Amino acid sequence: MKKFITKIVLFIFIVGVIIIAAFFLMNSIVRIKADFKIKKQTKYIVVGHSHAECAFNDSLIGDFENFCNSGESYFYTLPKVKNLISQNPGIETVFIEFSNNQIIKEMNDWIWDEKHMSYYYPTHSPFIGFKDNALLVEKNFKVFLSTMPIDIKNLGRLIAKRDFNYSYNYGGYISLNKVLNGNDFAKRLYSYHNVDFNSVSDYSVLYLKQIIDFCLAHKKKVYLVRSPFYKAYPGIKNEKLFQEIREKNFLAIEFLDFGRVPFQMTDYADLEHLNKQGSAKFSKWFDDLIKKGLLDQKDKQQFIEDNVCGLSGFH
Amino acid sequence: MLFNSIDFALFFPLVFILYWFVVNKNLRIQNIFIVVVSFVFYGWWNWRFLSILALSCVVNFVAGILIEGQEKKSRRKMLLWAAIAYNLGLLVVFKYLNFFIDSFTDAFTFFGFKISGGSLNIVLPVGISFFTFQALGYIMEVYRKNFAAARDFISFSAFVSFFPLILAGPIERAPHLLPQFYKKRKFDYSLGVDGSKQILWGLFTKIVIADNCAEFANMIFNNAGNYSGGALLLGALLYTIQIYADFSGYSNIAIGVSKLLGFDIIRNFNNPYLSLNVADFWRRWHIALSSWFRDYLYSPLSIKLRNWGTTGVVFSLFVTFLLCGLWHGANYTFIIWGGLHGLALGWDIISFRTRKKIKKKANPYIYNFSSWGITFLFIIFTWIFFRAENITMAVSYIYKLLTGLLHGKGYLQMLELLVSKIGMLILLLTLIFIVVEFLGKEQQYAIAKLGYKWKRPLRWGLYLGLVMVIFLYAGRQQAFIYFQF
Repeated sequence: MKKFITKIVLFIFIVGVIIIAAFFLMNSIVRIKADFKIKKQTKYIVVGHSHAECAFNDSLIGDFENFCNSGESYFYTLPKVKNLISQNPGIETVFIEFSNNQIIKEMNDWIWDEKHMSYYYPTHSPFIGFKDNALLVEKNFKVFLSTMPIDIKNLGRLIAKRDFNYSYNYGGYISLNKVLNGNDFAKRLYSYHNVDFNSVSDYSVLYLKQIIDFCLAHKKKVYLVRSPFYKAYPGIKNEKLFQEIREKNFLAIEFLDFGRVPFQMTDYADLEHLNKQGSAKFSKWFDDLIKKGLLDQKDKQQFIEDNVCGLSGFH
Repeated sequence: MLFNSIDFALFFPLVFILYWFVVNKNLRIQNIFIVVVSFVFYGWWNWRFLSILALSCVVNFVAGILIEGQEKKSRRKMLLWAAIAYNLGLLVVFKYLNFFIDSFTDAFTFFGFKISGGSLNIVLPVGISFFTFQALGYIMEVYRKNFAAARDFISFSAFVSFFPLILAGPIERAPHLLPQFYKKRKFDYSLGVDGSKQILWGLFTKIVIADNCAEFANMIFNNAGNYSGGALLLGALLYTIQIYADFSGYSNIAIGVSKLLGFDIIRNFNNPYLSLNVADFWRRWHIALSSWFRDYLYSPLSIKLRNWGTTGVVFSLFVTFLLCGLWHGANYTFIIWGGLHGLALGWDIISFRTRKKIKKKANPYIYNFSSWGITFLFIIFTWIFFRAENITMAVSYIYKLLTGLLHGKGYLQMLELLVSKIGMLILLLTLIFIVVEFLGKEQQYAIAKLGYKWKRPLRWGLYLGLVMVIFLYAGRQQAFIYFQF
């Protein structure tokens, strides 16, 4: 029995050592080689989830690049921002999408549920710190374990292909061709019926703070932005709570609210994502605002509202 | 709790340590421990069904004693039928009631009478067909006086609920397994090593082969309308591999786990896809179930019908396999699958003399190869019924497969699927699996003797390699197919 247990334990130990060594080695190689360099002329970047991903068409905005990714929580945005800023001294301003659904408790699932962790963790694992790894282990050990092979295979593929370009492989503007119609409208509304908009994800707030602190520590200007959403978007239900959280935690950071800019139904792909036409209108207008000196205004929100009439198709 | 889950990876080492180090002093305590962990294992899925399992232990234990104690044959028979009625009643209520109600309603509607049968919201307790048949087998053996009724309720409950076997077998025979609960078990090093290797091979078979084949097979079967000829043939072939890898993998894990606890369990698979005829297939596929049906249904029935001659044998086979099909699930697809096997077995018997004559004249290699080919194609064909959700889907799948065989489109689709990154990987791993299974065909499981004479580092390298392949190339976790039965 003793001999059997010794051998089994030794075998499991060897397996564990090999897996952990491969994991750390591959992560280290990718961390060292990772290339987050972007175009030299880029001064402005936007990060966040799908709302901003579909709203900011960076080909229409000067010196601007979109690094948002659908379903990405602040937990995974943090390492991305750290790398982008560290490797690109030309970045002056960081816009961070901050919208109503990003503070709700469901955002925790965006960090550690199976669907999100198995996609985002292998992408960002080389850049996720020890404490943050420990959080994932604590919150969803099973999925963390099942993500490890995906991670090792993914890193192995990157190393084999010598493809370490992170800046343009994980995020960027997405153009949606769909147009919001009555059927989608009802379906989309129904999809929110179970969402608890009155809860708060402390982790979302915590990691957003860390992103902001990192940017400020590197002397970058930071703005929270809220991308346009359709007037019937149910996420707005928690507006009071949303504003309370913002005022309590991010009062020093200016908030550029494009949420209520009056786009038409045909400019949306669904209740909270602009489609191709909508994003083109928005991006041109945003570019115009920047050129007109939005970021130098004292009351930026007032400036945005004063310029709404400049939006193409505004009635 | 699935064998291929992290829950089980934490559960079993704990059970193993407590079993051999804490409760090993006393046989009774060790058996009580087995019952407790088996109930925990079963209740992990749904604790509400524990009462069915507990009741099954009590009723069959009492029935065994009553049958044994009864001298009068008619009363013994009455008690036997009562026990059968109880066990089959459980199956009827939980597994077949909705099916019977629906079939009854459909039949009336067909003849122009509109009746509303309604349907009940009954959840099928996993493993019910397995532990019910294991208990029924015990009752039969006691009735036939082949085996003394159990007098120790704890040992009997451990036999019925034994956790490695409870969810999907192998369905053990009382004369083989129950006495093992009466004897003190000692840890045997070589049995432990053997069991560990068998678990490893079972995990590889299930997680790497079955789960990866399942992704492709599911894609083809679920979108059969978009595929034709060659691609549908590939789907059927992948399902043929999947179901074998899935169930033989499960059986290997179950047997391996039992070995680690000091139990010897019957072999459930013996290279079924190398069979030269359908009868041979059933001696090699799900041996525990096919021998159960042979001993407790086919044999008594064919003896009863012995005056009918060959017709009686063929009829008994057909009825046995119809019921074997029904055992697998409450769906006409399973009944047709069983019926087709019954017909094929009947044909084996009817054509025996003719085939014998041909065999004498033909080249043995060509004869054997043709027999193998025909049998294998027949098995692939019948698995389509087994996999399809309903008869319409099965018939349309077969129709599209056969009519598309002469068209290039299906083969192009097949190539497209195979040359994709995942397709190539599955193909490579499946080929390795088939070669290893073929090389190890004489053993109880394929890697039993693989690397036996190699030096330790090389042998350990093989096992490490297997673990790494399991770790890296696990398919999306799928429940074991036989859990639904």
